[in-house]
Amino acid sequence: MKPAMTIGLATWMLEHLTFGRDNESLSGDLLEELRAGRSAGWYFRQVSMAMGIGACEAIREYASPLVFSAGWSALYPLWRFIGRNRLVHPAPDRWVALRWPYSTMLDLAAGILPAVTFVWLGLFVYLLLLLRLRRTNELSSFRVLLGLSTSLSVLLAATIGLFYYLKHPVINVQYVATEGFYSLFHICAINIPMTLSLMAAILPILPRTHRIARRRRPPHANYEHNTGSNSIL
Amino acid sequence: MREHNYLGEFELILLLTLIRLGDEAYGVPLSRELALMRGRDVSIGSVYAALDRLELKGLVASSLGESTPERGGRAKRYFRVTEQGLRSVQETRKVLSKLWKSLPSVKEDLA
Repeated sequence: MKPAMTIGLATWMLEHLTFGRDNESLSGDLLEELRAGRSAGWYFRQVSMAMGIGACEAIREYASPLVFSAGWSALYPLWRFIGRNRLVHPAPDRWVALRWPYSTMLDLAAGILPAVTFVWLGLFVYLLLLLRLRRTNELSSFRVLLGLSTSLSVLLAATIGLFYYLKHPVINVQYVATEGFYSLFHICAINIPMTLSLMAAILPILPRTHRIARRRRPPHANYEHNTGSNSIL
Repeated sequence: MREHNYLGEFELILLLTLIRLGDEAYGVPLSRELALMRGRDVSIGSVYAALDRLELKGLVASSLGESTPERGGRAKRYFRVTEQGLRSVQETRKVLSKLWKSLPSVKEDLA
């Protein structure tokens, strides 16, 4: 393979195979150094290190929400126990009298209510921790609402997936309303949709820096810190 | 109680280099200056990773600039220290100065 091709391949890998990072500027810097006389070996070393660092950063970024989601999901039986008389209403007779689809919709809502409230509570606990520990100041109500709605969608989709996993003969939303569905018996399987749902809720609220395309720098911009170091310090 | 945000060694070096470079602080001059000051080559990827962390803490801000042919048409990413970053540098300097002044034996040994 020709050096120009391998450099092109390395650049493509840096720009496309690094998780969640905008590496356009970094690859531009490396190309500028290469044109200034750096060797191809130096370029490959830099690309390898940048990709390795990117992978470590991504693991670090997503590890804590994933661990939190899994840990929080493990507390679900406790939530069921606490809310057994408030959140869980197995097959209320008054809904059966309603016409379809209202009876089914209410049945479904009653079935997933404990799980949804649990996931959303987990989101707000994580949010409080995030605000406390990382002092993020870029949180918007839109992103919180996005997290809430995404978590609901993921929970529903994962719950339907769980029906398949548990090998129910038919997909029947009434199963989700039965008392034993979100029970200790299924706890390992239930943890998966719970964890996925909470993770989906958390992802939109995670602080972002390098992933967001920033505004172009205006020509001849004057920055407020553009003075000598002595005058600043 | 007031919250302090003390800096690590590499973070402090990065912020001081950014202040020193002023408006021209993007990846290439930044890594060259760091290599010159530290006496060894630095990985530009690690510089970016540290700058991303500093940006997350609100100590650094960045904006995209012009692209040039030698960069393959890719935009430069300029960095600048924020007001919060400057305060953090000053606080860290104060603490370090106090600590150094409180170590007379080390000072004598170094002299």
